[in-house]
Amino acid sequence: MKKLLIFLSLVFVASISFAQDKRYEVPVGDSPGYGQANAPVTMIEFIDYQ
Amino acid sequence: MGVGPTVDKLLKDYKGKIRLVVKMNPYKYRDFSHIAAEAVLAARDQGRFWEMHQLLLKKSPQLDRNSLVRYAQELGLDVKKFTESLDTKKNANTIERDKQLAISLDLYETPAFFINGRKVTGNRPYDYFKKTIDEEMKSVRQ
Repeated sequence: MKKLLIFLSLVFVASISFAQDKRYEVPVGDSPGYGQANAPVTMIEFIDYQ
Repeated sequence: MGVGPTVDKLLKDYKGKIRLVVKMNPYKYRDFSHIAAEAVLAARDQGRFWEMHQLLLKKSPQLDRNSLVRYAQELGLDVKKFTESLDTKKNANTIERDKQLAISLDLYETPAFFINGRKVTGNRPYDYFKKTIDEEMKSVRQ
């Protein structure tokens, strides 16, 4: 029983860290922006100017 | 638009390392969200996206049609073309495409960011962005 609990809590912790690491496929398309296309980090912002 | 200065600082501190891509996600029930998105895309069509983007962040929430036309004048845009673009909602399809993309990503708040695909929502402090970006730079180098 104890082993099962440990196992389940490990699965729980693993699933949380996995969720934080989730990567979304967001197409850049022809959207405007700033900076070089070959930059190592691409930051896509969804904006509302108001 | 509390996160504007944070993004500015990131682009400065990580010059050449970050590319910012902007997608429109105007909220339906705010008066000027849609026309402001049209304005920034109209400026984009004249090759002046970034200047208008920064100006709108600075002037927000003063984003009514007359103000937008004045901003276009300030930036030296072709005002006739700009105004036509606003009035015919020339970029409505682009805005709608971005909104649909936001919906498909379960985004119901702005601002929202994807840093190499990792989602960051809300007005997070500079250090939160920095941590995520540093992690990404490290994984790229490896």
